[in-house]
Amino acid sequence: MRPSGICVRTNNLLLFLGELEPTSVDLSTATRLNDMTFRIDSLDPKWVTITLRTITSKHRDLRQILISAAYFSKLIGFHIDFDVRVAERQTAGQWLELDRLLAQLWESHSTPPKIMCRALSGKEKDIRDLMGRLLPEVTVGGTANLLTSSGGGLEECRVEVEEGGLCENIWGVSEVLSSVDLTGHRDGPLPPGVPLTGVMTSPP
Amino acid sequence: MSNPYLPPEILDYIVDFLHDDPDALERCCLTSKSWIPRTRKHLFAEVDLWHEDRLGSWKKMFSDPSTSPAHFVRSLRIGGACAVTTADAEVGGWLRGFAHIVHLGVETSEFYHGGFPVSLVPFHGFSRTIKSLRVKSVDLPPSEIFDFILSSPLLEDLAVAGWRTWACDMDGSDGPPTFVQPSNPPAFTGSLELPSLQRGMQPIASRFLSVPGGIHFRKLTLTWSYGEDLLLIMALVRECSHTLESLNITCNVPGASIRYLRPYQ
Repeated sequence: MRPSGICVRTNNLLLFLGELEPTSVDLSTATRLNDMTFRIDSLDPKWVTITLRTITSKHRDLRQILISAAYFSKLIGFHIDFDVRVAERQTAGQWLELDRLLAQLWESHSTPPKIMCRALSGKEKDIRDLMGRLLPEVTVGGTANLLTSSGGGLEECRVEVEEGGLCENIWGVSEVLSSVDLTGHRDGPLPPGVPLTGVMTSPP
Repeated sequence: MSNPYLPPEILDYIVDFLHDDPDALERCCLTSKSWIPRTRKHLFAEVDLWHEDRLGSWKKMFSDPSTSPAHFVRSLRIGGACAVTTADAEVGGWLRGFAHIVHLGVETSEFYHGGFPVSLVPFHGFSRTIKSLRVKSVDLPPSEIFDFILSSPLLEDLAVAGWRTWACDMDGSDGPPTFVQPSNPPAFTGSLELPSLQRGMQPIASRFLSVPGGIHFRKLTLTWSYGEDLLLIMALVRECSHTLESLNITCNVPGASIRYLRPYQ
């Protein structure tokens, strides 16, 4: 969906004037796209839905759509059950809307979406259940690629934590840290200069 | 009995099999002088001068650039760019030896060093073969970083990260993105990675949008951390729409929603 406002470049700032409809990235002319990854490290997935709506039948090369539910992974990782329930209630409608669209794209482009979420040990079932409720069509019967930290093949990622790096920064890259034991450092700064090597998983 | 003779091509072929075995390569170096060039090609393919003490060790060990193995290096990481001076990039300077770099990573963490502003100017054009560049700068003005980018004509893959206090750029005092067209600018056809960390990607992204000749990246990895980031992401995707094959967007706006854009209406 294109913005209906007028784009004016002044100095090095972009300003939008006039009426602005709900806006997101327009992929309608990017017909050579073959893979897309959307990491939703926020509450609202609507921007992904609006972006994916610009996919057309001309996107013949589309091979992969990967959705990373990073925000919910964090909530569950922090064991904030109350926040998980509130967040789920607030955004369920938007997730279901995304779910329907992903299912349509799966059918129209033969592109099964991959849903990726990270869960610390012992939390895999919680995140799988949650994703099953938020994205029921694409996760039904486990036919979609719902990936959690205990999944299949391995892809090594390296994350360096600079001196004084706070735990908040670590969670910013929690996708690659899901297999790292952060016990004891959850609420405070990590020991300075600790190099962490995380292992993230990808589908078998 | 005469020494067995193997043509140099065969020896090179054998050494190449050991490319990922540094211990074996070091032993090869001690076997024969004639083996040294080929083993150095692999031993010094990747050099990490991430810390200043390593850089000091390199300069001390290979004080004569003409005999330095720097020309074997294909991948170089330099940290603490403040330690690199203009003299290093002049004829005879150690930096000039790295003339065949393909992958370069530069990190600067200071704006001033020893009373002088840190500059990336010494890196301009020091290797004309750079195809992949990662710049992490905490305090350098975006214009300085972008001039550096423009000085690499073969550049394909690019990642810029880490700006924190580019307040000067946010209020415009770093100047609008005015370009002096370099004689041979990069085509911007590979990948672009802009992880928005502290102040949004606006200062750098807006420069890409103003590049004469446009940008034609095949892969974009972008992060939406602030309201204006989405507008820039939209613009970058639009600019690359005819070449784009891979798109990776992360949204980490706290409580992000479309409503976040309302201040720009």
